[in-house]
Formats: sequence, structure tokens, C-alpha cells
Amino acid sequence: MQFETFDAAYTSRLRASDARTLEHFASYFGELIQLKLRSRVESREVAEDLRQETFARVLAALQVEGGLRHTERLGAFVNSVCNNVLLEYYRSRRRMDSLEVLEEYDPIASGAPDALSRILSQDEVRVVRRILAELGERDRELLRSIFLEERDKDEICRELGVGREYLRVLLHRAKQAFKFVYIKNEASPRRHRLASSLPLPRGRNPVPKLCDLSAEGLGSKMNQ
Amino acid sequence: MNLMDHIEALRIRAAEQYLLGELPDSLREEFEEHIFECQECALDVRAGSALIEQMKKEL
Repeated sequence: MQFETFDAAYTSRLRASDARTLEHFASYFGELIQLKLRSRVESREVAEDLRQETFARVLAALQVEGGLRHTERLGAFVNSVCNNVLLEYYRSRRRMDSLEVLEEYDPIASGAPDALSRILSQDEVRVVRRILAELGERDRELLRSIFLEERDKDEICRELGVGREYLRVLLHRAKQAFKFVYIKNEASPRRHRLASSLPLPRGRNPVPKLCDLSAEGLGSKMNQ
Repeated sequence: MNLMDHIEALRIRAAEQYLLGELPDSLREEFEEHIFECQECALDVRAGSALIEQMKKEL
């Protein structure tokens, strides 16, 4: 997926149901909405319904004159529509108090991978394996405890003698090591999975559908 | 208005905290507003999420 400029031209292509632009829109914002919703609703099915509703409303709004005044702020508009959809969902379920419940919901440690998650290529998988292989046993244990065993992070860090910042730096360094191959594959023309799940614009015709990765003591060397 | 700017997001390692579920509510909302407009941070979060999903399979 290429970087796109969200501007009047992009919005015009969306209005015209340009297949490639719709594909980009669904893929790019679909992942962000998915990440946003999975920390706020109790099931992936609900998250998917709300994602679809968000897309439907955004695409419908784009068909209305003045529906999106500042085209360069399409992202902010998608986010605000998603917030509205989410609020309506809470109201409909009489669950405005659910925000407290959601505090306890761990977006990363819960359940199976998302159905909409991007399927990684072989070279991306190889990079992840290399990253893990280059970690020390303590760091692997740290990641295992956090992501698989879903244990309390403070407790894990205490047991392993590291601080919470260490965990963030560890994740940061792994992410930086992974990003180059992720970006390379983003640019390849093989990502078409999300477009088919894009709802139709209302009232419109159908659209086609390393080195040492240890985080210890390396915080100051982070290459931001 | 985007309350969290890019520099601040990098400074507090917002992407890592977001992926780890560590951001307090108010900052989480600010960061989400930011990533819907900042493609660089959005990429950071999407790549990080993909990495974590794969690490969970490999660990």
C-alpha cells in the first residue's frame, strides 16, 4: 500500500467509486478502525459490524454536497464518524458504563488474530523469527508472558528485573527492525483483501470490489 | 484539532504504549486522533500490530 495524500483528488476518486482508491481506503482505515475498536468492544464480530457501519457512513457523507468540508482531514472525519458509531452502539446496548469494563480489556493479549489482519509474507515471517532468535532468553520470556500468558505487566517486569520502559523499548526496537520489510511489502501490489469487505456507498452502484535487539540500556540510542 | 502532535507521540513512545494497551484513556483518544491523520504513526502502529500477531505465533 502506497502512501496517499488525503486531499480533494483522493476524495473525488472515492466519490467516483474508483476501485483502487476504495481498496486503499478500506485497507488503510480498516486496520486503524480495527485497532481502535478491538480495545472498546467485546467481540470481533461487533467490531466488524461497527467498522462496516463507519465505512458506509463516510462513503455516504462523501456523496452529499458539503459532507466533508476539509478534504485534507479525511482521516479525522473517519475517526469522528467511528466515534459516533461507537457511541450509538453503547447507547443501543445501554452500556455507556461499559467504558469501565473496557478498561480491563487488553487489546493485544486477547484471543486469536483478527480476521482482517494482514497475512504476512514469507520474508516478513522470516524477519520476525530472526528478531526473536536474536533476543536473549529473558526478553523472549518477557514477550511470551505479556502477549501469550496475558499476565500482569508490572508483575512480569518485577519478576524479570526490568522496568516498564524496558518493555516499550524492546517492542520499539523489534518494530523498527521489522518495519523495513513491512514497508517494502506494503508497496507491493498484492494487498486486496479488505476491499471486498467494503460496504457499498449508499445509493451508488456496486464497486469492484540487526544486531543486539536487547532494549537494556539502549533507550538513548533509539533512532527516532 | 489534533491535540497530540508527531513529536509528542514519538517522545512518549505512544505507538508502543498504544500497542501494549498502556495509554490512559485521554491520551489514547488523542493518539487515535493523531494516527488517523499521521500516516507515519499509523504505519508504526500497523506494523507493530502485525509484528505482535506474528510473535504470538512464534513464541
